[in-house]
Amino acid sequence: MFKYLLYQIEYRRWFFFATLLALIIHFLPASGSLSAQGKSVLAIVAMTMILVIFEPVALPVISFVILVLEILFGLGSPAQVVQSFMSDSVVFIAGSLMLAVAMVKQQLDKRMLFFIVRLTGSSVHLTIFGVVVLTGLMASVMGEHSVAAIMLPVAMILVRIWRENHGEDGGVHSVFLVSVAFGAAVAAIGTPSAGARNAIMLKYWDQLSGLQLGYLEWVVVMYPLVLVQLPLLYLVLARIYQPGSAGLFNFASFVRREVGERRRFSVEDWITVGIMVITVVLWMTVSKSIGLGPVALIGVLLCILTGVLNWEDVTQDVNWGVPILYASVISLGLWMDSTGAAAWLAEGFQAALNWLEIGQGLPFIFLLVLISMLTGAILSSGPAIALLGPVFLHQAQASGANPLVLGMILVAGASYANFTPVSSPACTIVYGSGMVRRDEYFRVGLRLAAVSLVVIVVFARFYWPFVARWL
Amino acid sequence: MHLLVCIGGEQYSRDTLRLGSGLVRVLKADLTILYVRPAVSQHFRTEARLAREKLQDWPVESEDALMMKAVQRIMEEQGLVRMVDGKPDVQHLPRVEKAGLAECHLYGSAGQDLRIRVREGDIVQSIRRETLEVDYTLVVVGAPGHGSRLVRHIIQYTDPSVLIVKNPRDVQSYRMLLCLSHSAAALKAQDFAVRTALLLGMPVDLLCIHSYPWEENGAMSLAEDTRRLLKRFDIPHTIRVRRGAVVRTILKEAQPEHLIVMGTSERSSIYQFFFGSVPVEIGRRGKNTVLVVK
Repeated sequence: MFKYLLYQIEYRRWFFFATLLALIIHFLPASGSLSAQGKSVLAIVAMTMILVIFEPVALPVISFVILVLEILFGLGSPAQVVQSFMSDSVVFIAGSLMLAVAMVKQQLDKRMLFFIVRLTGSSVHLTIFGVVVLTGLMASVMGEHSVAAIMLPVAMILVRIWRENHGEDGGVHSVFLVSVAFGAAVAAIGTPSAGARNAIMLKYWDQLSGLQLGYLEWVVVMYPLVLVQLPLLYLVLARIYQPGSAGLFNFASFVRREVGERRRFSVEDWITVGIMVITVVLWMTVSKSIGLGPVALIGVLLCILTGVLNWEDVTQDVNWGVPILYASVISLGLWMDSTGAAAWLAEGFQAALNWLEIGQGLPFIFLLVLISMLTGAILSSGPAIALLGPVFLHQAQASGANPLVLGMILVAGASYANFTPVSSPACTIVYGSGMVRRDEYFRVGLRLAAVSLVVIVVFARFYWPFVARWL
Repeated sequence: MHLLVCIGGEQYSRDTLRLGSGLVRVLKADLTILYVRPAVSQHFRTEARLAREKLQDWPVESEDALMMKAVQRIMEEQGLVRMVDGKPDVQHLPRVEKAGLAECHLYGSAGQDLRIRVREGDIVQSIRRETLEVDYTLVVVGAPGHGSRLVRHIIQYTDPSVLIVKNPRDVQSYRMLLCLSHSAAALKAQDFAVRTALLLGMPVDLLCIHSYPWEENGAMSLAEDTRRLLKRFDIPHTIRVRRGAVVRTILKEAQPEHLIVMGTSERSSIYQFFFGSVPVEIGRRGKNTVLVVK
């Protein structure tokens, strides 16, 4: 009995440590401009960060903890707290995940392989470029995790062909897998539907800055960054892995022999793609009036009515922990705003900037990108955006900067810090194949982050302020 | 007898597996090899499972399948698997069991059951789940180095006897260093050690440690009783009676060829939680393989 309990205490030690820390912060006397409620929110934020990093409990449990503490610490009435959990963004995240399952269930992976065969022939450089671009373009709409699931078998077949041609080659073969992981991760900011983190930022802009950005406007702002990053990713990979001029000989015949002949698009495939196109068009056209979430649900409804998705698939294959967790961290972000905790943090940050004599120029942008990247690397991008979003938007108010630009810096920075297998869903899925070493993520991620840092700074200095004037 | 050998993907796991297989060959025991795959972050576990399911439609081998093949190859090299027409005698090929557990079932050369199982997650928790489902005699785990929390958790929180493998050698080249005291747990260790030494043909170095001069007679009589037992079964042995701190003395007496055998601590779980125990300290600080009999 005791042994069992002691084991549980040890196994979940970070939960107890986080609880203790939250209680200490909560019971500290309030000081300065930070209200007692603001201090309580920061206590919950500290606890959430520890729980997200060390995962002593399952994801939805973190949400329960946040909900219970928000009520116990007196941030609002139970009804207010529960209401703060539900928003259009949460429905949008859940709907996008369900749509992604519908796409994964089709036989798109085999078609992708045949498409790459036809497109690239036996050139290894063209194949890597093809995998990066194809993965990226799909992930920019469908969500990186579903694209990683679709493209992982394609990459593993490429690894097999490479090994048959060139044997064990000091790890060059893993370039195909890494292309999928980073291609998907890099493109996951292209549209709001590409990742849950994007929906969080949309919610914050709307709620905290009064900035109502639609699906199409997001694409106008963010997609150029993806289009610049994808070729850069290819160059980074080619430089690190140096596959040389070696070819993937007998690529087409191998694929036909091992995978079978190319099948035509089935009715279900056409219906699924058609529904996806309709949903994206609706997101671009009517989401400002009816919201992103309801449009996603229309797509899900169409999938279920046409039989390309059934409810069993939805219950089994959607990671419900994600919308539940994001519902709670969005709630926490909103309480950070309303209790003044975000403003207090922004003031502190501004004071530090003044002390360092950093104004509005390049050093300021550089610093924000760096903070976003570091937080994203530690917490993973979603929670990083959820917790830093209100602070960045208050920072924009305090410094007179454009909230759109600062929000985009946060989204891009937090999403481009993929140093570990757990930094993004795509990286985790590819790591799960067991064919990519942990240190490869650091090797590629660090170089890509350095390139991304420069690209984001350029976008934040020139492109985003330019488009912000027109939105 | 049923042994559970727990491995990860590292080099020391290969050595642990070789030692475990060697033991099973001699003891003709049933063997389950548990490969614990590192857990995917909870954030993306559903997505990772979905991707793995997708891979099953493709002519590519998953990490689990590759690991199972590697383990099977090592067992075949050790002459542990029954071969029929040059192929291993398989009861069932790798298949997914309940709760994400994958299993492959083979027949051993002595007719025993050989299972290769794959789980995902924390190694200690996986062992606990496994030992709750099946009644194992001994759990064999490799220890990566000094001061490992893993060693403490395994010794403290698993129910069957535990063999912590460090710097492994061929089974037949070991000598047993049997550490005894008057405790009931030590007597259980003595019983287990005598039976094992008999089966493996292993010489025994008996070590009785006392902390104070007035305990010397007790230690001497304990050594004499055990000597008689070892002599009765014709097990080659030496006797050492030493005075000093228990952990330090055991570590000082242990030679590279020694397999240290000792009973579990009789202190309460809470005491061990805060202050540790002799087996844990030997497992953490020593360079020898340690068998903790429970």
